[in-house]
Amino acid sequence: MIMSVNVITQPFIVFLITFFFSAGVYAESSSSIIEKSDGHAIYSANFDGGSITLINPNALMDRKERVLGKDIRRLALNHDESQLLVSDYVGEKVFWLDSENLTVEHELAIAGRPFGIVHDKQSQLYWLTLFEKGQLLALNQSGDIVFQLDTLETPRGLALTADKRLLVSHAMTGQVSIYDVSVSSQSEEHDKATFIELIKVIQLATVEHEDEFVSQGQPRVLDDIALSPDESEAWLPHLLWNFDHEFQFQSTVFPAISILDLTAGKEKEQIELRKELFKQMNIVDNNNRTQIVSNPHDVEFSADGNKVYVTFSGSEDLVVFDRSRSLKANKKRKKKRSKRRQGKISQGAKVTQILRNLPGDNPRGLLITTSSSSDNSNSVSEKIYVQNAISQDVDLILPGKGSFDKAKVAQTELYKTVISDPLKPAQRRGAQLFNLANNHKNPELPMTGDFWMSCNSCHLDGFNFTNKYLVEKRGENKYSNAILGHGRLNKMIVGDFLADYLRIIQDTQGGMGHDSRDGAITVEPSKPGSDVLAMMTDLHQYITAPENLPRLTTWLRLEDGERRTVHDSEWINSAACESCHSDLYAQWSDSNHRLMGGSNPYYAVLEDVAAATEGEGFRAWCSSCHNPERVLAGKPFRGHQNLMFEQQGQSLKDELAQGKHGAKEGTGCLFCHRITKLEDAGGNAAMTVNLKDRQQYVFENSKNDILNWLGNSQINAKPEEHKKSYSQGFYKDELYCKSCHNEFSPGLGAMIVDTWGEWEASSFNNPEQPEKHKGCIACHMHGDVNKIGEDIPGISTDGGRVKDNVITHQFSGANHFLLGLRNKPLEKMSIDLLKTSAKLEQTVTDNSVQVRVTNVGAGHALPTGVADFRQFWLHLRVEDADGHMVFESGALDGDGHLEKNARVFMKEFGDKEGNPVGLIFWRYEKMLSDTRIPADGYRDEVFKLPTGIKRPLIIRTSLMYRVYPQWVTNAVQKKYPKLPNPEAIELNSLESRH
Amino acid sequence: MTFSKESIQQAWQQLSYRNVMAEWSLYALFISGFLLWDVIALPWQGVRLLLIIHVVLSLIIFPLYIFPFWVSHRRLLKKSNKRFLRVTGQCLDLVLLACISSGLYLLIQGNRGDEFGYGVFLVHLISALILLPLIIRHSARWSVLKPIWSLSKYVLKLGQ
Repeated sequence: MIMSVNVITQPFIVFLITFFFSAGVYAESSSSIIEKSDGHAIYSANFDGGSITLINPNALMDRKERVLGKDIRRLALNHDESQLLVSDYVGEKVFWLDSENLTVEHELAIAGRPFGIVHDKQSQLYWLTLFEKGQLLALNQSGDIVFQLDTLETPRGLALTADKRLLVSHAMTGQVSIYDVSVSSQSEEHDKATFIELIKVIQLATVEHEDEFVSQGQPRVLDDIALSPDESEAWLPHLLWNFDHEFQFQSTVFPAISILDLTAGKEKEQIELRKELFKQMNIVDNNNRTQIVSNPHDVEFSADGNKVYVTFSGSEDLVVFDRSRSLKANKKRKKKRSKRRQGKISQGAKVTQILRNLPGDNPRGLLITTSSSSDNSNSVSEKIYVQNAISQDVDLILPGKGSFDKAKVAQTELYKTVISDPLKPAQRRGAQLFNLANNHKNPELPMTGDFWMSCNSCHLDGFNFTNKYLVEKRGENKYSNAILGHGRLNKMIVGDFLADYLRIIQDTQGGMGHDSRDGAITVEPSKPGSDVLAMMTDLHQYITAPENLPRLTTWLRLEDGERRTVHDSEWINSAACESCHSDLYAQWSDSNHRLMGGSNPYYAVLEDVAAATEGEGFRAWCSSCHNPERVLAGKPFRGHQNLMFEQQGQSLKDELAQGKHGAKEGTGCLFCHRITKLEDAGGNAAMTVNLKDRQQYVFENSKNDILNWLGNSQINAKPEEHKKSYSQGFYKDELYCKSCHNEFSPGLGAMIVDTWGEWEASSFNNPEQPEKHKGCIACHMHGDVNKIGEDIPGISTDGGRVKDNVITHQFSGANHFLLGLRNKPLEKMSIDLLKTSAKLEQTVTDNSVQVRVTNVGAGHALPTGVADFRQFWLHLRVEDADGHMVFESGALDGDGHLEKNARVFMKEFGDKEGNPVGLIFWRYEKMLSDTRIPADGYRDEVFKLPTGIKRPLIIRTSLMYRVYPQWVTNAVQKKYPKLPNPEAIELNSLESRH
Repeated sequence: MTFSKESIQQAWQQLSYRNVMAEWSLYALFISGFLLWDVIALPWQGVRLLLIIHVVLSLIIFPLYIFPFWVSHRRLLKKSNKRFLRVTGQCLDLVLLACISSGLYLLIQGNRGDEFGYGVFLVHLISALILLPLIIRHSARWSVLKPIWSLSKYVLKLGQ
């Protein structure tokens, strides 16, 4: 009888628990490992294994794996569990799969790094985040996007509550958006207003302490959102970036789990409940030290909600929080405690166990399954599956049975998720090192000190657009320390990468013996042993993987990573474009965008200095913008030809006449027009060039004249595909220019040039009012610099339609001088543009002259770009009543040098000790002075006049400009004697009598 | 082997009547050109092959087959006793001229975006669309497509 009661009651109890407590009924959370409700199937998204795996946990031989793409991150089942939606994060695709046999039903390429997925059972829609693009998509089950919404930056994790609130975590800004998607179930009109409504944005708190060793910082690297079974709370594992001081491994990155109160309409962060090191996460080891855990990844609640399990992928732990005591404390002992501990706020659930030394590498995914207990005791048994991303397997953990019972590893490597790893062994080992903060893995040569952090703690998922959040808007005091990355580099990484990796690991992460308390051997970076070298070589393999930094010091990438270089002849001679685009060719061929490699003597000298000080490999940092075709063709970074006086691209035309193509200096037609992807990493050529996938006409580039004519005739006759092949939607996006016109020092991370940031903060950036919005091309690619803001009609193709506003290709700008060596009319355009940039006002008091220089024409600082070389200054002359010069400031001496005390508007870079860096600007660590005139801003300069001068006075003030200081030109002329001196030009002047 | 004036005249006269190759060539040019029309929206890999086929066919088979037939055939436009053939023939004469001259312009100058280029493209397209049914009707009795019409009649009969 008892037996039969059990038989009846067990499933009922399981049902009740599942129904009332489990988040699996309506609530959904984005995950990499999920279970079918009947318990007979577990699906895993296998990360960079590129596949998904289906396994029957009751019959492990019953296993299927489907290779889909490059980096499969999340998956979700639909309402009847017949279909799976899967996101490929690097391959930028989503797949709809049959959940039984894993066949692909639909496939859709979606740019912008598709990541989190949940399925709304009621509306039968999948919700998907585009991490890089900042969008939220609703997808139906037939392979279509039905709705697309711009969100705050970096949406990543997703969770859907039973009452239709969709929570979105924003990884790099520490925010959580909450949307009401209840309407989406009924809405047939998929427009923004009726489909989804943003209810609230919660900004997780940034806490700062004077003591940097206390857990603090900006909430970053958010992803998973775990809902408690009763949906009263959401737990969000993340990191705290505490970058406001020099890197030190115990004070730079802290793990945390933020708790949101999900009371409908009153959603808020419960900051006092945030789980932090030394507070709620404070398990002490045998040495009386708090056990450090790092990189919290996935959170899951037990079915009754009493326990919370968290994977820590860095330190490779499973951490258990006990909520039961805190819940009871809140409910039962509220009154009692308030008397006993007046003023003290409950910190909520605390860690009760750190299950250290989990088997496998890089535990990320977490799945808790519930079933009726086999011992007929009316209880429900739970199993915990931990998915290891790097070792590509799943471990089985059994939780403790009560509050004091500990979770235990029941089976190591329960099953392999990936049978055939697409990564090479060395790259896999490198990926492990990049993600590793488990000191027990290699106690003598650990990657970090005391489990604190891994490379991935800051470089999320490797090297990608998230780099922007490391180098931009950090509020650093550049006068005391401009470095936002790793200091003490010997050769800017690329020149001595193995040793510099070691320095970074030691100084930033406390690894490789920097923290030797637990027996680590202190490694001397310049003399590493063979085992250390092997490790660093593996790490290098990962770092230079196609989706990371294949050229190490630059972010320039090629296609989809299937090939490292292009064949030289694939670079079509730009002169071939002249036959149809003669105006644009004429403008470009004399411009600085063409002759900016070996033909720019200043650049050539600086590149040589860079190579001499940092190693030949460092040329790639410069060349990726100045010589990108050669870089991608794997040729020596710079040719030896100097064509600074060549007009109209004659050498290109001559070569074309001989049928010659090949990589050339500067940015040729094909390069700019085959940039197919921008990655906003903060600058440094963060763009992808694709030559192989362009649509070509038969015989288009044939060397045979007749066939070539046939090819061109086809283009002319039916040019639509040609046009499509060389056009991208982002040509008018300022980010396109930012890729090269923003620079940060590799490794050091000091922002050297931030033209984009200056523009972004200016009134020129005004997308809300398009008539006032002026991007880069509005001034620098405009047909008439005296009519900026007006459309200039013209043609871009001979015989083409007249466009309302033609985008010209002369690139008017600050370097008028080199342009003028070849083309005086274009130089005049640049000078005219410079003259529109600033206005002067002067006020004279008894004994002084105040000159105000206002930046009225530039959407960036004056000067910008290489503002450590550009000279803007005031030349002030005062004549007394007899016509004698009684005061002068800003004069050039006979050798062309500007007097030392001149009022110059520029910035000066210094090294760590505060000495000027001179030509070696990439070693900038401190700003010595920055007297530039900001966009929309002004600077006042006051000149004291001598006393006793005979009045009236004639005061003349000129705003002068010279592209390079004389000392730089002198240095360059030693190598290029034909280079003339750039003249100082007067941009504006005032004269008044007092 | 010598060619007498008479034999040449005879060959020229023969050329002006039913010319299978000329007719096939016109159909080939029409089909390869018609499929290039954006409305058809073939994938690019198909379009690029069709485009070169269309261009090469125009350059080779037009002067080889169509042009001699056209010139030799013009005599019949005036002399034919059948009014229908005279009228459709003269129409064809004009439409073919429009189609060929616009095609030549597209080959040499192209349709690069200005209004004239677009106009020429439209002339080429429309003239080709007119040309096909006109040719079929004009040459119905002698057409290479005759077996198709016979077959379709037979199928229709079977259907009844």
